[in-house]
Amino acid sequence: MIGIADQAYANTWRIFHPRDKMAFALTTMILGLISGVTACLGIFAAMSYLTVIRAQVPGRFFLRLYLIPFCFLAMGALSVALTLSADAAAALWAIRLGGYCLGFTPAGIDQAALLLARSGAAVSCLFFLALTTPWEDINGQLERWRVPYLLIEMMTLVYRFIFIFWQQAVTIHTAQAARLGHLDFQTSLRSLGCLISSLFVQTIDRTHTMYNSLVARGYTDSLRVLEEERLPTPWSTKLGFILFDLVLLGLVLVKGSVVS
Amino acid sequence: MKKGGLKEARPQLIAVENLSFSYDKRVLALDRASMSIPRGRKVVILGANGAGKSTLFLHLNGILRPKSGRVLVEGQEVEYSRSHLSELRKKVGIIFQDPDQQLFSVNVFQDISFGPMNLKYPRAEVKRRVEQAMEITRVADLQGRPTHQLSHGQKKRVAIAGVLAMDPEVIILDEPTASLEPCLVEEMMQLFETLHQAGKTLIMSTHDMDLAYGWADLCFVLNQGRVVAHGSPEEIFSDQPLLRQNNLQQPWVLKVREKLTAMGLLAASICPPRTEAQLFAAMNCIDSSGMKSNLSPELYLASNTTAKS
Repeated sequence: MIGIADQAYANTWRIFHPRDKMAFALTTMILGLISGVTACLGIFAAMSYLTVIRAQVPGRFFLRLYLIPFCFLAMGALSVALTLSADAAAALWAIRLGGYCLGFTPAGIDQAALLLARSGAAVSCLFFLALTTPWEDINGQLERWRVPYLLIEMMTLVYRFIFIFWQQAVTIHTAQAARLGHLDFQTSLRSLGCLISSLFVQTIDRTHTMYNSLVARGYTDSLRVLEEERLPTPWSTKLGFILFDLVLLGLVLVKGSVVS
Repeated sequence: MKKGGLKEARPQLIAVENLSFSYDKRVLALDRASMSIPRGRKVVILGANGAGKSTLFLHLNGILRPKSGRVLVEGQEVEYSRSHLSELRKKVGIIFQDPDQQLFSVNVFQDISFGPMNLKYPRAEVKRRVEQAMEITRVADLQGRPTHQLSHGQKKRVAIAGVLAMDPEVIILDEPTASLEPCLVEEMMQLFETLHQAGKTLIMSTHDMDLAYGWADLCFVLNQGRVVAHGSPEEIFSDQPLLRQNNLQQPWVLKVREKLTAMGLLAASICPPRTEAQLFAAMNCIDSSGMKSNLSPELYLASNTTAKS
């Protein structure tokens, strides 16, 4: 989480205006969700290229990020691929369970592959955006897109507090470990409980003090800030975005892969 | 124009009259506290933890409302309507002790722009103020970094910039040097000196006696919500019973000076030094020939061995 935020500040595409990046990532994500396996692989390749080669996010970091969603995806795909049916004839491989048999059918495997490809493509769009665009840029753009202000404000504070609480949690954890709070499973569990309850109390305390400090600087109803100026995305890149999405759209329309 | 009016003395910048406040209706956090702070001064508020310093500060900015008593700014009683409060917060800025309390944005530039944006300045003016504040506090090079990557000292400077961008007349500093490295403390004090030169009124709370004594030109001592003493640092820090009663300590320059006076090396008549430099300057007058005869190597060694045995 913190690594993602750091990359969002360190990459070379940070200087670009968030509008084009966000529009591209969102459109591609939506198109990816209705595309076939090949198109999804194309999306994955394009997003990896943009993130790693163009924005210069370290490739190893980018791939390692996939580990987390991949674990979930693999489990989901596996359960989709497994088919429970009455006759074993259609299955490539199956085990008998009483009157039924549980196994892999070509249709099931196809479906699992499609699920895997679409989710992978969507995740790559999300990673592209998250790794190249700092949070406040996304925020500012959402505001221009007329997302309700309350929502944006909450996201701003939540985002900031994630880091504050992460540091707090690390400090508490270290203090507990220094007094043998994580010696074995049982003490670890108890310490974790203490850590969470202590974080909870601190949350309430911190909201009070944060509120006071905001009020001291004239906070009334909204967290208005001035955005830093950003460069427009180069025309060639914009053109690339548009062409890529048009090709995806064309593929969807021609092959009609929405249903498959 | 106002200078001509000799009869009407200019009102104190901040006056607190019989201010009482309690958080939980049982213990008074402030108990009929009174003080007045003239314009352009360097004020230190001393007192143990829980003496009511932070509570007092929150009153000066209108965040807390007095249960009884009143706060006056430029002779006007503080009013708690929205427009008045906005005016007050433009005049009186608070820099909180923990910068993580104050930085709400991940972006340095945006966080600093928050105050001036609330004052409804046009964008170009906000930008100018943010850049100016970043220059004074020397955080311009941190602009591209997220706040959670900054060190404590850097966060502190960004928090200060966030208040300076509002260009307040009074700057309240709640333990500004707590948990800073010594060289950063010095840097911070230089920054405050710059602000003082620019005509700002600074009000600081601190537990660092040496710092308070060397810096302030007006001291208030708080104890259990009451203002128990006020005066020049010379008056406050030479009053031993007062210091003892309020768990304060004498600054080291005064201790050394007293010792030297007792030894007959410094004349009791010289005015008490405020800083290390002043003390050392006074010590230059010590007759070095007298020192030599008093502290010959043999004598020094002998005193050492007797101390050990």
